Amino acid sequence: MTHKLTSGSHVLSVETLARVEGEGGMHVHVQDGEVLDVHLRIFEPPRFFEAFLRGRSYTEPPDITARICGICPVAYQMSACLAIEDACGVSVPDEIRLLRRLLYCGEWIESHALHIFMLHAPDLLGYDGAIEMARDHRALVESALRIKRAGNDLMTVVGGRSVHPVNVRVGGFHRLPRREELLALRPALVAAREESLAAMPVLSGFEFPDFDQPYLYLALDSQNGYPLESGALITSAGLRAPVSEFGTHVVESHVAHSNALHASFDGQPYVVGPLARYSLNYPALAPLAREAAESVGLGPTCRNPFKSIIVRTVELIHALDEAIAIIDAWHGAPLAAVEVPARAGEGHGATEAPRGLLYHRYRFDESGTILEAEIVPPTAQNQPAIEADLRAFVQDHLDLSHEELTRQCEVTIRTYDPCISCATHFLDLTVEQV
Amino acid sequence: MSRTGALVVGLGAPDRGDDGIGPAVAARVAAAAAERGLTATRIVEHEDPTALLDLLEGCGEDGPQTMVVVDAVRSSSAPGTVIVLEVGTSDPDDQVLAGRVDPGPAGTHGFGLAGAIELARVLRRLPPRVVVVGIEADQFEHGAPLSAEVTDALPAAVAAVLAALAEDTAATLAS
Repeated sequence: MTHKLTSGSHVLSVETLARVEGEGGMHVHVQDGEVLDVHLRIFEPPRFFEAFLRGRSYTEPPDITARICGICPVAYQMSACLAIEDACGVSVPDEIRLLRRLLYCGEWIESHALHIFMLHAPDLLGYDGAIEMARDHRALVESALRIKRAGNDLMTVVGGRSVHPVNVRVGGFHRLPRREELLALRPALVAAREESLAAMPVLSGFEFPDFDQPYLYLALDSQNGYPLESGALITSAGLRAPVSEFGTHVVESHVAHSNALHASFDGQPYVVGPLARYSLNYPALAPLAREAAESVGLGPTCRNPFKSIIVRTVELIHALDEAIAIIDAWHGAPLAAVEVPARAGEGHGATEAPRGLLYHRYRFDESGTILEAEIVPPTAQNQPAIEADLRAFVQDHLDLSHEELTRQCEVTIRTYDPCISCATHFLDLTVEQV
Repeated sequence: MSRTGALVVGLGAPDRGDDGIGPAVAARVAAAAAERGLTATRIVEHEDPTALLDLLEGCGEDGPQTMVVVDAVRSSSAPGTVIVLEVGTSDPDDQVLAGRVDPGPAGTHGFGLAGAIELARVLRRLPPRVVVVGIEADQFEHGAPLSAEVTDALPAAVAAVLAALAEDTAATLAS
């Protein structure tokens, strides 16, 4: 039986959200056609990484924090390295920075391929999941696995392993990849770039809800290329600030319904991730990625979360193209790492995880022992904006049946690719009907 | 060309408490396989079940006859209990595991074991015989070793894998 939600008291609820990482739920309370409460509930117990880091050596966060997330360990390693190097007054040479970008491209390829084809596409094609979709769209899934594998292999060669890379250290890498090892990756990356370009018309051809939102976007800028391993903070409101000022703008607070902290930027909900990066840094995309966006009518900004699948595909094409370019230009580096001597002080680091900006801050004593650690993952930053989206979406679609609206709410949440495991320091969906 | 040999995959993260049982069993099976001259057996340790899809890519008719996957499980049994599941054939219509284990929310990190096996089946990558050796876990703490109960289950888990491989060898010899 279906019924509309325009009168009486209704609660739309999903106890355990599917195809998001970690455990969480959604609860939306509708009274007489008005959305009263929207809660994204996060059940996974907080992870006490920040407390665990206190008293450890300044060389340890890249390896320890990489364990927070299985899909974005590189992001944790890179943000940790930047923050530590900032505190110690060291910057790495261009070759190491480029190798960091290459490793990060591997993570983006792996993560974006998985989300685009296996987690988001089933929603748009009307399947419960990738397994059901694979029965009818086997070629698409096979293609996704090949693209993802190209990212895995890149992570293995540059990072030492495909899941939790072990080759990253403060100041650079333990070992430099050999040119022939990198060149061996090239054919699979070129093929993956072609397959991603070929998938673009399919992935952009869905009927997307008309749902442009007045987001405040936050991303890194493009001083070193499309935002990835470095950069300063920029927002859609025109603010530009060094990463060291992150804490003066972003405030995290506890809310009763979630284990994750809720973040606000100068008091407002805000969005990090593919839509923010793309809209703030469109000119820095590889020409091939920009052409792919143009070919499907995507302008230089995007404010519709449902179209994030197109933006992720543009970013996937960019990451593949840039990885190939870095490999082609790679002629080695004088040193695998630069020395980073310990000193007392505080450091800030921000890089662009696949899901958005990831901020680390550390304070050290003179021996390099960690006195304080702070980690602000992308999903915690996006959580208030996801709730605002749900509120707007439900309010605009009260004519849908309870079942369909609940499903659409889940889809809305998944467009953010939330990583609840990371955010628990952080999902089940409950839309309430009483 | 024809299918021969076996693939053993130990899944799990070695520094996440009982999640490390898969790789621990795989290491012991590797030693035992070397002793017994089981040269047609490939043994792999991996943290991500999605890797099964890559390991089976392009195998076609040349792939292994049998795949044994060792992983920590949560089934409300006593910690250390060893559970052996024959999870059906390579026929995409034979969704044996899907019927018995909810593939569950896959998460954005890839697929759970059941999801990875069922996706491999739909993509026709699955060997004719797939055995899951599950060891009931107690805890998955960061940095923790295997629990005492799961450590005690190691010999039984290794024996279960070797038994599955022996059945495979016997079937090959008989054919």
